Amino acid sequence: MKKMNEAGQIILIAGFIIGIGIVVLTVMLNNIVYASNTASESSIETNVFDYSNVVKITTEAYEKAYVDARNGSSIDGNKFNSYMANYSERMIKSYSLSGFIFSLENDTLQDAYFTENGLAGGNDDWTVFERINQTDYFLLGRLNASSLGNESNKFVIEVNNQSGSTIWSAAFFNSSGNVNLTIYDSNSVLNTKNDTFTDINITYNQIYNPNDFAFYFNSQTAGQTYSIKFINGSQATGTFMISGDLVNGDPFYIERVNVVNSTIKLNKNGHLEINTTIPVTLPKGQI
Amino acid sequence: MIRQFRDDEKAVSVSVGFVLTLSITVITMVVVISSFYTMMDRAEQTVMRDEFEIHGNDMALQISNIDTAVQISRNAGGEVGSFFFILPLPDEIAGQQYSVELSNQTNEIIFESHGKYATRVKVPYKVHETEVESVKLYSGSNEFILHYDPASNMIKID
Repeated sequence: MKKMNEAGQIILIAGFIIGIGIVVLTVMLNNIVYASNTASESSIETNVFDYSNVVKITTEAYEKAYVDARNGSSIDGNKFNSYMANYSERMIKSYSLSGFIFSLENDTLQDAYFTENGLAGGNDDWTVFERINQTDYFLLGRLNASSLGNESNKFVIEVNNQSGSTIWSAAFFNSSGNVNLTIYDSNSVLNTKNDTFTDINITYNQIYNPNDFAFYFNSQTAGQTYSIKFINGSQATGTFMISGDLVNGDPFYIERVNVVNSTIKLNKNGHLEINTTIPVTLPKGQI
Repeated sequence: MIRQFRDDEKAVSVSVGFVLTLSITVITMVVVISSFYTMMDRAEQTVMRDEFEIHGNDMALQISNIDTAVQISRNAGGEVGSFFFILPLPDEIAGQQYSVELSNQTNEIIFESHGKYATRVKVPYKVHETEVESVKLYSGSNEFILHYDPASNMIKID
């Protein structure tokens, strides 16, 4: 009878210990469950790559639309706009699949400044190309005296050699309604012209007819590795085309006739929105 | 009486035994429960730090995204007109409110709950083209919007 009592007490104590053990385990488990359940998922979105793609694709679309709409020296505005409208529609559809709302606000074709991005407020002083070995074509067009700055604000094309010294430069300014062009070597005036011309071909020494004006560009740059730089680009509007070869043998080509200021908008799920304005210089040579 | 009590080998009486058992049980329970509370508190702080790290990294990534977008636009000759990102930050983390501080002195995002050092998390960020405005915000006020201000070239949060 006495033994039975003792056995009962052991069972009671054992039950008590097991009970406490269960409570401890439950609280610990609860802690673990609580901790792991409240950790929120990271919502990492690498939207910047989509944005980068959009900028690149849109620039290329503008270039293709421009080439498509170009007929000699004139541009078929309707053709250009319909190409871009079609592009915009396709982009809206394809980007909607990845949750983006794409929109493109088309702008009209404008006359380009000689700034880096083609707009009046763009970077004034910029290097067009570096490490040039040979320039085959260097043309400027649609120069307009009224859009040129005065003598203290002249637009200058500068050619610098590898050590940074200027070996050739051409300065343009408005001289009483005429375009004043002065050609310099490193320190002296080589040639000058004050007239109402609009187009020049530097490599062909041409203002009106081939070889009617000595630009000294070919002789000054012969055998040199050089860079072409535009200075005070906001002081002139016009077109330009430069092509040739770089030191490494690669050809280079840039042609600018117009600039279009396009506004791209990207929206994702309502919690991300990018609104950006990218000027696209046309037909070729996006910087 | 004391002598009897001292010489009594029949252990304790039922009443004294009950008092002893009760007091031992109460003390044990108090110790066990308080240690659970400490554990819970520590677990709460661990959860907070984990959460803060997740949100901090997310913010740092978005700051970097905005900076890169500005850089891409500038390389293309353009400008970002506006860029905003609504941060999915909860009102409370582990049942507690918290603060977010952006410091452009140390280039860090500092999360903290109730000024407790144990909950403080610092996440570094990096920008090249833009600046980040230093600010301290508290959770639960409104939506947190990370946006770029082109006029001041600054990434701001409000």
